[in-house]
Amino acid sequence: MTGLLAYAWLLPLAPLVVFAIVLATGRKLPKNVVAGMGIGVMFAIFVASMGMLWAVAQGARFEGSVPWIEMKGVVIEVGILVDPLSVLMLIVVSFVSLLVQIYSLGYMADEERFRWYYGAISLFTAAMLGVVLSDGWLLMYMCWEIMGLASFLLIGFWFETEVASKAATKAFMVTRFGDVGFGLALAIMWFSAGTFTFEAVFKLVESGAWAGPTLVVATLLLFMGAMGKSAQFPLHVWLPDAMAGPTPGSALIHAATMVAAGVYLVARSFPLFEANPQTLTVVATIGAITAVMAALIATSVDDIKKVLAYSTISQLGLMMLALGVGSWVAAIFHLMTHAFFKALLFLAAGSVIHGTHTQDVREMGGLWRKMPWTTAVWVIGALSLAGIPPLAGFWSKDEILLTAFHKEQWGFLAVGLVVAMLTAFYMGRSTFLAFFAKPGATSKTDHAHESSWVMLGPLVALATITVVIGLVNSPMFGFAFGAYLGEHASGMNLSLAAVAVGAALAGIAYAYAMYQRGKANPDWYMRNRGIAPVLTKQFWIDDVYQRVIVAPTLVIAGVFRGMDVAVVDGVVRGFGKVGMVVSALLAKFDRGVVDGAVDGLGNGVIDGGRETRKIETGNVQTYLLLLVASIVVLLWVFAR
Amino acid sequence: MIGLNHYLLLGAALFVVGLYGALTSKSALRVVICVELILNAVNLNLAAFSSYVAPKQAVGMNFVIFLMVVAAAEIGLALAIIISLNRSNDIDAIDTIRRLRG
Repeated sequence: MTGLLAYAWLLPLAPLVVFAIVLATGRKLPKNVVAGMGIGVMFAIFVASMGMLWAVAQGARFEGSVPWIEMKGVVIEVGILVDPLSVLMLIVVSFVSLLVQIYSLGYMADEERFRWYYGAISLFTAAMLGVVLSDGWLLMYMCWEIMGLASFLLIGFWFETEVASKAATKAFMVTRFGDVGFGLALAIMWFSAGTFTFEAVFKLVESGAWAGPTLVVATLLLFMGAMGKSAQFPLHVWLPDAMAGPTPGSALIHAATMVAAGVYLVARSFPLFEANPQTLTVVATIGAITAVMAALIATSVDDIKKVLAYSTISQLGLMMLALGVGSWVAAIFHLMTHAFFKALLFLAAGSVIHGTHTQDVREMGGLWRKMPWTTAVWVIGALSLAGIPPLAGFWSKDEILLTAFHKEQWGFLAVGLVVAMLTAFYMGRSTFLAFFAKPGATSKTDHAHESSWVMLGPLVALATITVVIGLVNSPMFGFAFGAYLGEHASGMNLSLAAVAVGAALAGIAYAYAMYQRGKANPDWYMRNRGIAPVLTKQFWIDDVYQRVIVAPTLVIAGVFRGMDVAVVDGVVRGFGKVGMVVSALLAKFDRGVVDGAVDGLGNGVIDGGRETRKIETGNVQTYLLLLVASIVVLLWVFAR
Repeated sequence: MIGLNHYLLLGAALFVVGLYGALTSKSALRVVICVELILNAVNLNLAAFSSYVAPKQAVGMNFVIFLMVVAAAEIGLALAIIISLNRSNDIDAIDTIRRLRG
């Protein structure tokens, strides 16, 4: 099994080949063949990853690299690193991708660009596997960017609609903004450390060979990249808009895996961050702000996918908070459980959308009668997200709170608890409104129907995982997860867990009282809270960007356009005009002088002929007179 | 004593009279008569030069004989043309004939 690890580099290439085949064949292959390739490859990767898990759990590691660029004695290497963290991510990514692709068989069945969808998903998965397998930041950065491209392609899948195309552009631009930071961090790293591989850089940092301001700036810039990808405040604005893409794609990319890449980046680079407490504080603070803000917004959103989008932002903030307070294991644990239950929630939401053809929770209600399976899995996902034991979310959230507790970061602990309560509230709100409350006047649930088993199957699988996966880091299994990742478990604090569960239950109860028990006019909350306009406008962040960044950019662009028109175009036109004047003069010269000479010759001959023929009068005596006159003249000239 | 100059002066006078007549006459017949005057002025010159410059050879006399024959032929031709014009167009005025006009 250990030998298997050396072949891990094949894993990202396989889906890439699928993508290439889709690109090359277009519509020639039958839909089922394309989907079968994608699913088959993903299944193989999942199986291989499980095999690697077995090997890695027994202590096997693999690192291998090949020289990529050699110049003037400088060698840049790229390679793969197979360790517990990367194998864990492999499993999460390949498993969610596998289930999403199976689910998509049903969800995307009627799509015109069905094959392209599978191609894009495969491209994304290849990039994500590349990110988690790379042994250095350079290769990671490259895969990171491909991932951004795949995300762009999937958000813009329905590019015919303006919403989707704009959302795709926005997502790409905003994440690119963060990626600029990542790129700069790489540059600093190259000049300070001279290498991109994790191990080498970690050694330099540990030994103190690389320290000081450049390290601080590099970590902050790395975190900037993570903020873009993981939708952290203030770069979170793209994620809610990204819901314009197909729901299964959103589930895979914008809920479970890609957005977690930022968390993975920080976790993977953790020794760098650990050496800089100030950066960790920044990470935790940004995470806390993001978590609270997104959770608050989620309480006011009516689009079922956007609730989940803001929830994702909030949970990613929580992971950042965990990283910031110093436990990357807690963050990764939450990343893993979140990947499963958020994918579950997204796919369940997709099932609801598929069945009701609406995304607005106010237009749903009472769905539990018509979609019992979807309701069941949704409730499992929602309870897990809310942090109710023994579901996965409880264990991972508890781990984060516990870390904050142990590190005596009381502010961040309080934030965690508030977020837990808010999370329970907004999940309760959407759950009651969509599935349990009486359908309202605007309800569109009359023709709702349960989805097919090709869609329910993955849901049930994910629900099962959600129920059991949290236990891997529970006392019952001896905190196996922490041990696997090489960190000693921090144990369990029953009273803290009780407080957290209490907060969650309070949130659910409040949501129940407000939305299930009669008063259930969802607008009630909107009308009666001073904070409501703030929430419905998402803290005006988009508006601020519009005013502060987009509008000035447009103004500047307008100024430059004006300059272009006035100066550059002016110069070009000026040249044109000069040319025209010169050529007009030349034309005149041509016509007047050159043509004139030629014409003049002809005309002269004609005129001369016309004039001279006048002396040919036909009168013989005239001829004779001229003859005599000529002779006289000749005599006078020559005979003098 | 009558010398060469007298002959030449007479020839010149004949020539000028002939030329004047040829240029100014309206009648075609008169033009032909005046042309004859010019010819005979030339004949007179030739005969005078011959007898005064080279009397032994008498070359000029031969030329005069030839010219008289040519002049007779020419008169015949000219009269034929004039009569023909006169008959066909019933005209005699030479300045009305302008067929040679360019």
